[in-house]
Amino acid sequence: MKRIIAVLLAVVMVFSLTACSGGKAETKNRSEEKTEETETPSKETKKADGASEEPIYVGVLAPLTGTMAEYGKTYEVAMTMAMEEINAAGGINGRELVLDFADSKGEQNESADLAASFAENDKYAAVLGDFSSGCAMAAAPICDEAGIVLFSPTASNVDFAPMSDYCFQIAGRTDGEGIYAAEYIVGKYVGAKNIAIFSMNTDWGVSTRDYFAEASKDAGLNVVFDEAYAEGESDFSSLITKAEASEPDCVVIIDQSSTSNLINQIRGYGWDCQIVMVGPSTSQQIIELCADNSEGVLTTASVFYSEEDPQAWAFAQEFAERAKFQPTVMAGYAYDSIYVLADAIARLGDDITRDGIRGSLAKTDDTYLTGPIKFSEVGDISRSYLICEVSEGEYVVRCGYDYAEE
Amino acid sequence: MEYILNQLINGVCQGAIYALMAIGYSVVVGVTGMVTFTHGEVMMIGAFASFYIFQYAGSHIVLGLLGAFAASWILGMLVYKICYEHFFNAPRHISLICTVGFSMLVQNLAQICFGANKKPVLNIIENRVFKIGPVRISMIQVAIVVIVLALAVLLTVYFNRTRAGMALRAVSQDKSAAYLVGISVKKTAMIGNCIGCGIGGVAGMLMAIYYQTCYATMGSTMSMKAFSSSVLGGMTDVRFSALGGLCIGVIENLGITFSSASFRDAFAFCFLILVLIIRPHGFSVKKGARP
Amino acid sequence: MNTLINAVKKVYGEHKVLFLAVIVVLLLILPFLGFKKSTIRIMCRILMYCTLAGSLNMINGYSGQTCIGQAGFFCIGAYTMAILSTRFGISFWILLPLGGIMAMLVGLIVSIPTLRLKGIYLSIITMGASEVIRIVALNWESLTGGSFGIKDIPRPSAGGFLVDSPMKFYYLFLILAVIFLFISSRVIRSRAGRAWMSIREDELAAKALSVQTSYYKASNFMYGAFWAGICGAAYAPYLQYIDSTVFSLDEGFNILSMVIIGGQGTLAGPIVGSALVNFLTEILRPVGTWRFVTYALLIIIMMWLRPQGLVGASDSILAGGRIKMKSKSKKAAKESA
Repeated sequence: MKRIIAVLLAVVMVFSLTACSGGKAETKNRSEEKTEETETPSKETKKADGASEEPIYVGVLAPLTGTMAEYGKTYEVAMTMAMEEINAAGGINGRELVLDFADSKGEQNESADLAASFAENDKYAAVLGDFSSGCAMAAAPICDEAGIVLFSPTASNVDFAPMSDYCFQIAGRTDGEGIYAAEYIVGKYVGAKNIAIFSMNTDWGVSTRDYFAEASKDAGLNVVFDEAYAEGESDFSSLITKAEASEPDCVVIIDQSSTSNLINQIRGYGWDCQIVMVGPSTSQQIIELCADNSEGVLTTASVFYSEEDPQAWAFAQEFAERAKFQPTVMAGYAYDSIYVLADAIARLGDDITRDGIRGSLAKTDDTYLTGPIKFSEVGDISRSYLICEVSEGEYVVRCGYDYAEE
Repeated sequence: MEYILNQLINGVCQGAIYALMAIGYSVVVGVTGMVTFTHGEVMMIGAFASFYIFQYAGSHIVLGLLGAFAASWILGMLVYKICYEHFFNAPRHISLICTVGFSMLVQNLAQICFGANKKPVLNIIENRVFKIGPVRISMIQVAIVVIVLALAVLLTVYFNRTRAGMALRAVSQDKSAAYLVGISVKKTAMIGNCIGCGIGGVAGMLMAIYYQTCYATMGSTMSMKAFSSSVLGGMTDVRFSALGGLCIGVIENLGITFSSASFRDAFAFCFLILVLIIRPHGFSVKKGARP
Repeated sequence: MNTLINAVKKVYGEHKVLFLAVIVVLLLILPFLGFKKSTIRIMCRILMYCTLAGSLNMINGYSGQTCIGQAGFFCIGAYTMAILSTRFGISFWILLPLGGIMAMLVGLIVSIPTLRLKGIYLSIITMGASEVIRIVALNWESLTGGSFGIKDIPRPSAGGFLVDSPMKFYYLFLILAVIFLFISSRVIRSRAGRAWMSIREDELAAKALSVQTSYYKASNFMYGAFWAGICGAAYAPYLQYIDSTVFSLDEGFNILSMVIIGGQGTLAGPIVGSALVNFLTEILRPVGTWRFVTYALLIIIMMWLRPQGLVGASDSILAGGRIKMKSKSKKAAKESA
């Protein structure tokens, strides 16, 4: 028995080794096998594709495995949806759009290596991703060097887009959300005096917190408690006790992954305070994971999947069906990024070059699912926000986008 | 003062969770004599088993408990067959890498099968908060502390008073000697490993209920805590491991009270290192204890 | 499979010089064979991990300790380079050894509590130390940039020659790996190396032969940490952007699995391990989310079939020489039954 297994394994090993050594060059370009017949000679550099029937390829960096796999899945589902819709509607100027997903595992070196493999393959017109700012920033120098667009739907580090002309992001800058939350939600809407801040210790969390704290100081708010915790933290009991002892009127949670945990534990502890969350936007997951505990929670929302907005609602329904979980704001950004990119490519007509895409993308000025998108000079956008409240298990808009101007 | 007291209570409750994990861990390590890195995944499977039971059969806590125990028992058998049985006489790092590989396998499979998103585990136990003077304790916290104490007592009795338990201890102390006195070493070691895993599964379920969520990667950080706690307790002794978990919980929460929460793991590890410098075998009194 | 590997080893033993020469020439011309940049980047990673896994092998394989926190030393080296080069613009060539020395000092500090400890108690201290280092890197915002990390780490240059493309880094990592292998092969044959190995085989006996075990264990840790630090210092400018998430415990396990898969206690082991692990994780990409399931399965199968690692010696204490005895006794038991 043992021997049979050993022989079998040896055969498998030998087979895989020969397979690899034979195809070493191809293995780096995952989908090359299936597209060999359409590959253009490499002399046509910088040209994404030759004839117009050929598909347009876009590489996507996403953490499909590892601890951030949930977001990778979000990327995959939302982007595939957008891609299928575009192709069903006739593609980009008649050409099919094809997304190639590559698993960066949420690790910077993998992300950088994959970006390099996309960048040097002339077939790819642009690179989307990566999910986290850290990974996107590791890939940025490579894409900059190769002159290919690196368009991250979700990276929000203020330093990311300025790193290169080729870097774009649409998640909104952390200063926008932080300052809005401080001035308008906590200051104006809630009217709190003393606030407690819980923030996640990641680049996003820290920079949002910094802007938030600064803005709340300007707005005359008193920060009585301000603590960061490591990403993936699950037990907040001692922080909650500590926060409660400082007697704030309002608790602000700056987090993207453990918000539900924190809300549950605050309520479970029997502390009935006003909670404002910054980051998850109108994520259905929060309601699903917190149920009754989420009642009365306020949130900043750049995106709102409501029944009144049929397009967004249809997106949310479809997403939930495909992914088997409710969409977060990230899903909307990922979905939009495909449309933004497709529109940018469509504007170029037949002459599709990587530089052309960069220029065209920078000129984006339109309204998409998640709101109007117009890039600033460095390639990021400032979003405007709604104030939403959870009421009877649903998000309800309390103040519109124009609340800031009132 | 009230504040500190409340924080201590928080620490004890958190420590109880660590202790719960560490108990299962130390049973596994005690019996097999191998270090395991699959314990987090065992807990995760327990949590998911109970999650599906709660979803399809309603919030029956006993049913969930049995389901979690059974599911992780089966996983325990797999772990034993794949990572331990073959390597009892080999150097330890081999089975260590096997457990690392196995935990990667289970975690990724779980992510594919159960989905990568967080699952809600809500309202299994009615969440009541007791107020005793200035101190607030929730129902589930009391339940966890009670379960830890009960398990520690139960296991101690089992190991010291019953025939099967004594066989387990014999195997844990010296495999060849146990073999000589007529104990079926492999069977006993497997049962011991499975008991440890089953307890791990129950711990996973309680954690899912306590944190009201379960997800495929929940085990990875927690298993490090289980590992540290049982090292602190001297690896093989159930009671000392529970104590180790309790200490780590309290130290962490005191650390957070006086400093920042981002240093949580640092407090735990620094404390562990300090204790190990003073007592190279943790709290355990047994000299020359394995491994 | 074992016979195959043994046959390869035998041939290698007979034509050692020829083999080495061929390999060196092959490695030197490899980048010119028309590989894509991304393939060369993978090669860079393999070479970097050769040295890194090799440095862990110095600790685990030669003195028999089980260190699982090599990522911590790696982290120290990388941050030394990143901080000093971005803040003070100190040259890469000064910082490269400095990164190693910093890691070495940390290795000394870590080794002090481990001197009295054995086995798993030692492992957990190294693991704890690695986590503590990472947490400090994450939280000491004024020095390490905290969660923002450090970006724009300058690329090394020597007299106007800028090391900026993956191909140039390939040679940098290759040179490092060769230097590491050369020095290490001398060190393990020296008095210190023999002392380490005697500790690995039997610490008590080594003590009885008047080997100062504490001194040699500490020096062993420092030596391993030194090279891990150098790797970190060389890797930071290659990535150009580092933050603390690169140096997680998973990274430590990754390095450890390379060492063990390749074969502990041999110089070639970590090289083979690094090549195999990086190669496997790359070629498994087409299976998408099943990638790490397959990879994990392969690790387990590997451990079953060749517990001493691919090129590990089958007669060392590390190699599970005792497994054979076990299976023999099992056979005997079967026969008697």
